[in-house]
Amino acid sequence: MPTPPRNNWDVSYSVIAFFERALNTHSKVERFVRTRDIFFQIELANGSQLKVLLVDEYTLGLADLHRAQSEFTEMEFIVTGGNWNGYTREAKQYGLLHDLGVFNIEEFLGALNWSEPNKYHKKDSDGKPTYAYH
Amino acid sequence: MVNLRTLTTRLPAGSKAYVFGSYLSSDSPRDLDILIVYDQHSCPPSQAHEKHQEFLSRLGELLAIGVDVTLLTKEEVQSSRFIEDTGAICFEEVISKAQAKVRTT
Repeated sequence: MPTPPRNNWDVSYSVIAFFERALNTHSKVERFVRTRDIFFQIELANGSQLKVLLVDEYTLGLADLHRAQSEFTEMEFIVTGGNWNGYTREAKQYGLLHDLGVFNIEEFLGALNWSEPNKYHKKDSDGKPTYAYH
Repeated sequence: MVNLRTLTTRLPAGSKAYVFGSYLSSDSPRDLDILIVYDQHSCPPSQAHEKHQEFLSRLGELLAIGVDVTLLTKEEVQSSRFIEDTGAICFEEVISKAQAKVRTT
């Protein structure tokens, strides 16, 4: 019988462990602390601090962003689980308007290489921004 | 008394529930994936989780299964093509089919 998650976002330990492994091996991450099971305070090599909520939503929407902001008021980034997960256009737009980074894991790990991580986006072969839209 | 057929009366006005994922194809699904499409003009996104909690809690109790919810506005569900991409089916239709199956077995 699987162990129930220790958070009220149904984020399993396997997702948390995957994220922790990725942070532990990322060249720009100096150290991090995990609290409340899914909330990460990450210190980068350049000294900046990021406050990140890890969730596991197949499609992250506006309702999830509002719920997350009410439960984790200091949140600066929300990252949704595996690379198959994504977010709606409306959620990304809300994040851009409110200085809230909205990413999936792959994007977030890329964002850590940018000087302003919350403005990160991948690019297609023509150099145009691409997002993990669902 | 609330049962599965009348449960949708517990949804806020303008909200509609759909089922997607393994519940539609497995005889022993581990959980129930529910999509709720809501009208952000009558239910702001900031209240969406709270306003649908009663429906979700009762659904989990009635089915004795974990419920995994995706809450999207009508605009989000259109722009994401969520229903088309996941093959989500209207909740009432799923319940009717399940109850018809029980009656014939």
